[in-house]
Amino acid sequence: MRAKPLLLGAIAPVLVLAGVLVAFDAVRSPIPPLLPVIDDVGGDFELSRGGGARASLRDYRGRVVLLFFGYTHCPDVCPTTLYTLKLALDELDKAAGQVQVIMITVDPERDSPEHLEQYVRFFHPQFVGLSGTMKQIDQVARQYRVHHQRGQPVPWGYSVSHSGYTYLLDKQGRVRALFGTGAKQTELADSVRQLLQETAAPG
Amino acid sequence: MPSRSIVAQVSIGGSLSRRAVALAALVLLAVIGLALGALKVVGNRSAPSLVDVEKFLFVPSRDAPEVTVIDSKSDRVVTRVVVSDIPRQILVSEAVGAMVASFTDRSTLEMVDLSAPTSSVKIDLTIVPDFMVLSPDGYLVAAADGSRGSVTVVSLQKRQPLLRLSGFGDPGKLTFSVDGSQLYVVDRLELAVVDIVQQSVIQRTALAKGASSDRKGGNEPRASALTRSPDGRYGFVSIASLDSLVVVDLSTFKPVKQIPVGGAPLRPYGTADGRLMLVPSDRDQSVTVIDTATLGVAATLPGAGDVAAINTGWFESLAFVMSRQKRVVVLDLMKFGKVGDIELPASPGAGVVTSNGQKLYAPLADADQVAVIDTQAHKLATFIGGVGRQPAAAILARSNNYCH
Repeated sequence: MRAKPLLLGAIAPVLVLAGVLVAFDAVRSPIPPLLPVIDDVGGDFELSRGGGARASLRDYRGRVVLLFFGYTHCPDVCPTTLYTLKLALDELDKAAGQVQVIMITVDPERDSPEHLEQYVRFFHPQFVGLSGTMKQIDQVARQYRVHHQRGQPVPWGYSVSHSGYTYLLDKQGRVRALFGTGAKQTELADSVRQLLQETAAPG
Repeated sequence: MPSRSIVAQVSIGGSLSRRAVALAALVLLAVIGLALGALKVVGNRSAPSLVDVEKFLFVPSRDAPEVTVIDSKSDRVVTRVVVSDIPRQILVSEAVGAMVASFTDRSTLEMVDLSAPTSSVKIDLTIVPDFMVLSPDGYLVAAADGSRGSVTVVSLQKRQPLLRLSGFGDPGKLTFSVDGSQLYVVDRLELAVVDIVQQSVIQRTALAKGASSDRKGGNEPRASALTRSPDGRYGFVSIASLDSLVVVDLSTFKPVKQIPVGGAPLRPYGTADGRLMLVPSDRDQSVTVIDTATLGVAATLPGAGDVAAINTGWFESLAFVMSRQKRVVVLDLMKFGKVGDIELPASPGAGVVTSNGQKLYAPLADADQVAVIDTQAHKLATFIGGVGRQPAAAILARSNNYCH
């Protein structure tokens, strides 16, 4: 009569171990990819924001920054990206307080700091828009490898051809991820969460 | 030895009911774990939804009726989509969330709904497509049948052909205009412009002198497909027999410049930012770099023989010349020089770069793998196996990351 419980006693731990291993694998995958520091892109900058104030990347140390280059007359990519960034902040909920979205104009001729500030706040009151002289914008664009070029005349003036990356910067201001146009808010929010959870700076 | 006696008490001693409860709990835990695992296995076997189309890399097989789907973030194979025959070509439309496959000797397209990849519809064309191209907005597919001299444009929303035109000599080289309202057909040495709404050819332009007589004489066409500048202002066509690149103003459809390039040039490849046009030459094993602002030659760089394609990445600062001679030549497009040579275990097919410009996927048909190249480091990062037999191409629904 004792054989049965003994057999069960021997099999059960094996089953438990197998079950736990399989279950653990089911839960853990897919493994979230690491976000290594992307060197030779980025760096500090100081530009103008509405109300005559100046702002630099250093001002946002301790926050995760989502940085985007665009212009307010852009008919498609820029408003779509800003809306996606707004949705990403919505998804982050309370953690959004530790995140700063910054849009830098590639069309400073038409995007005064005031106009840009008003534009980005239409999407989210927490967003910051930065403008400057063409020379200043060119300098930041070089740091972030942003292509921008005035395009052909259009009914509303002229278009500006520009690259549409969103840069994810960690709390130390280093570029940690690049997102192409059309990145989804969930992807952005997930990557932001990874950086917010970091306690030690990665090598 | 108190601990041993405690173990003994738990495993052998104690009342039957306590043992039964403990065993039942253990078995229950095991069953839950195994059930979770089983769910995972079953989930992998059934076709998962691919509704976030832009996340996935699609790799059609040259040897089996299937397309392997890879998560471009983790580089893991997530599923295989079975189609009705070995695909000749596939396209992926983010706009309609569908994959479109054409097949050799079949006059139908198969359109697979990526939200439920086991369901598909057939679209009758009445032509056998040699080549297909997707409109920039992803709603139209143009297909060409060289032997019938016909072109068909299909609406992916309506799942039916919108127009069919015939009378072409060799309509294999198709390109949509930026807004998708026109189709540029390089037909031997002429450019034919099809207006989709008017359903007719609205212009035919000789790309080079003697083009018309070449067409009538039925000589071998030697012009490449037209590569459009991203802003739609210019079209670029390589003419192998003239060792030249012809620039067409797409507002007038007139050639505006003929630029000497390397011998027997292949089709031009543009950088996504529209800054440069890259023209590989098989004879010279060179790449002529054209500055699109000045329409002049910016540099002539070393290339490779038997070029399958040129991809650009890492902020469009690097070009990757994919050679069927099992290598990739890396060119710096800022300093205009060769910066690397990547050896591959097999010949690469046409690759694709992710929308953030960081990864280049190249199918290696003879190795049954997809090579992943880190564009910033311009080094091989890894190989993805389990991609089916003879991967023919690597396709992303979205890879351009520029606003024009």
